Amino acid sequence: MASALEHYVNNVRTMTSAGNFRELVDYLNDSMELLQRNLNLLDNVMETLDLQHHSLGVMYIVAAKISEIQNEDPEPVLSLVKRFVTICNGEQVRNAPQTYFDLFHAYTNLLVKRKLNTTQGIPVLTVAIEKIQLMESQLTPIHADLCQLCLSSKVFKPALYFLDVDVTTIAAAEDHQDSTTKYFLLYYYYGGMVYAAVKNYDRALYFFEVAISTPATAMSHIMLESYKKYILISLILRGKQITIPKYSPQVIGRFIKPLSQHYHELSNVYINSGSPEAVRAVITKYQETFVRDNNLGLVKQVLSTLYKKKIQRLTKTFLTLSLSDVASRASLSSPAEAEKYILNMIKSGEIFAAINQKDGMVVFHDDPEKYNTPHMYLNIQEDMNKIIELNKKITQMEEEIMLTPMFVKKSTIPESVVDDKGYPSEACE
Amino acid sequence: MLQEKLEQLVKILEKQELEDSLQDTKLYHELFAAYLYLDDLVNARFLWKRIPVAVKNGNQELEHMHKIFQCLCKNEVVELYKLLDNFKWSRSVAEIMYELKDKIRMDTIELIGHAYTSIFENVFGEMTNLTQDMIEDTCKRLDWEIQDGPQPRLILPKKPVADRVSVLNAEDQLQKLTSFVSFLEN
Repeated sequence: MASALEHYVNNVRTMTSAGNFRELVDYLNDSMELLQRNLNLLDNVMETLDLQHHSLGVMYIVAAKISEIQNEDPEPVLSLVKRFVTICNGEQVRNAPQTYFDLFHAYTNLLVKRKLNTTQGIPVLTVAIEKIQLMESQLTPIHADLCQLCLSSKVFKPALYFLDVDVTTIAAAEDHQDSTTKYFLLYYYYGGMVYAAVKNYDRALYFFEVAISTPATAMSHIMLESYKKYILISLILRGKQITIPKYSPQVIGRFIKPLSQHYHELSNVYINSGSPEAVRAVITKYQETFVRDNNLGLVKQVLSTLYKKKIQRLTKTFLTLSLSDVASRASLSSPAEAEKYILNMIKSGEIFAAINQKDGMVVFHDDPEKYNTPHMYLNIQEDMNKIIELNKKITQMEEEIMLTPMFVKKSTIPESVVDDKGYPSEACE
Repeated sequence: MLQEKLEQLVKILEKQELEDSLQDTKLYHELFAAYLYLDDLVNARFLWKRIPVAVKNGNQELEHMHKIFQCLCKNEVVELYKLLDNFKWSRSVAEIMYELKDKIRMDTIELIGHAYTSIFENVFGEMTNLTQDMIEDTCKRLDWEIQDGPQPRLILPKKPVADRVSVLNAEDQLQKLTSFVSFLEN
């Protein structure tokens, strides 16, 4: 058995120095079983290889170790992964992306399942993503793992650093479409949760929207949970239920909606009755569901926005109103409470108003923004630049698609006039 | 000044927290205080949640900071001044806490300028934690009128004028406009 491992080391060495990475990856994929059977000898094997030079060879050893880990102390493996990711050669491991991704999925699982200190994994995954990424805006399956660790350790800055970049390409290993899709959905689901946690509801809504509008023919649990959160966030942000995009897959209407009945009822009561008591009653009625789905926090926020939405609606109808009127119309207990709400809303820029304590009145103003300041001009400029960039990107992607042989074959020439070699027949000219 | 200094500090401390798994409790104190000063309540909330229970238990300073955090969330300034005053802060955070009080006062005065067209003197005093004389001084400085009359007197705040800094120069603007037009035309 030891000779097989010696063979492994020799192969890794010769193929690496010859630069035959494709061949090496094929060999390594076949040797995975061998490695997993000889776990106790792997440390010795590793000593004979150089982490930087033989990154691929070492990666398979690390992957074998982490995939077979049972109940022993995880510390040696964890520190090994950490060492591997800091030293390994990004160019080389890019030849076997799927093993690389699986390695870090296993690493994340190990941390989460064993309830270890998840914070320590965040810097490791950050480096792992940066090593494998070809450009900043490339999404990798490890992104989802990073978001998961950030959520479980409640440290969000490292995830936001990646989430704030809009994705333009996806790093995926060929032949592993299923796992890529799963991590794509997970990224948008966890990402939405991170944004919801830091109260960036706009982005959160967008992330959940991507998750539920991903083309699908079968229902995914990730999509179902995203849909529930999408309903809640749209209530918090807009005070209504936003219709899902037209291009969403049909499974949403067919399977997901019936499975989110309780959420629909909450949103119907919220929108139609608008009374806090009624909303509270629904929440108590379905508390169990909300708790089980881990959505109680968001549900409570839905309730608390109800008062604000009511006050916001008043600003559209009235120019001046007494504080006691505000209190009764927004179902608040006293004029003093109404004053507090209004003050907080002025502070956060949700409404524009002025309180007159002498007469106990409040005067509602229009948005004072006249769009005529240099500052606003700069904002518009920035937005325009973004749009121009986006436009460029779309044109570029369209060109790429138009040049794909598959596309050319299928769309521009009707099948009937294509002869069996795939060229247009003379009749067409 | 302090703002920038604290932003730097936050970055350093956040990095430190990620790198070492065993934390010195001082780090949590400083980071929490910095978040409070920067009004970064979201991060403060999660910092509180992730501080290990062993560190939190019986740690009066952290618990006190958490109370301040809760007040900031609810915007209860009156309670806030009491909390800030009635505690002996440790050396590493004392300065931040002292400045925090000033900052809250400044912010509150600005908010009052925006949100009130008239406000009673006693309410103003509570919200800013200022004495009678200091109120008069402040109003004089801001050019806010105090109406004579029965106690409590009425203060008429004025909206603060936002100072607008011009951030553009003509050439730059022209160049950008050209690029926009060329984009639209093509």
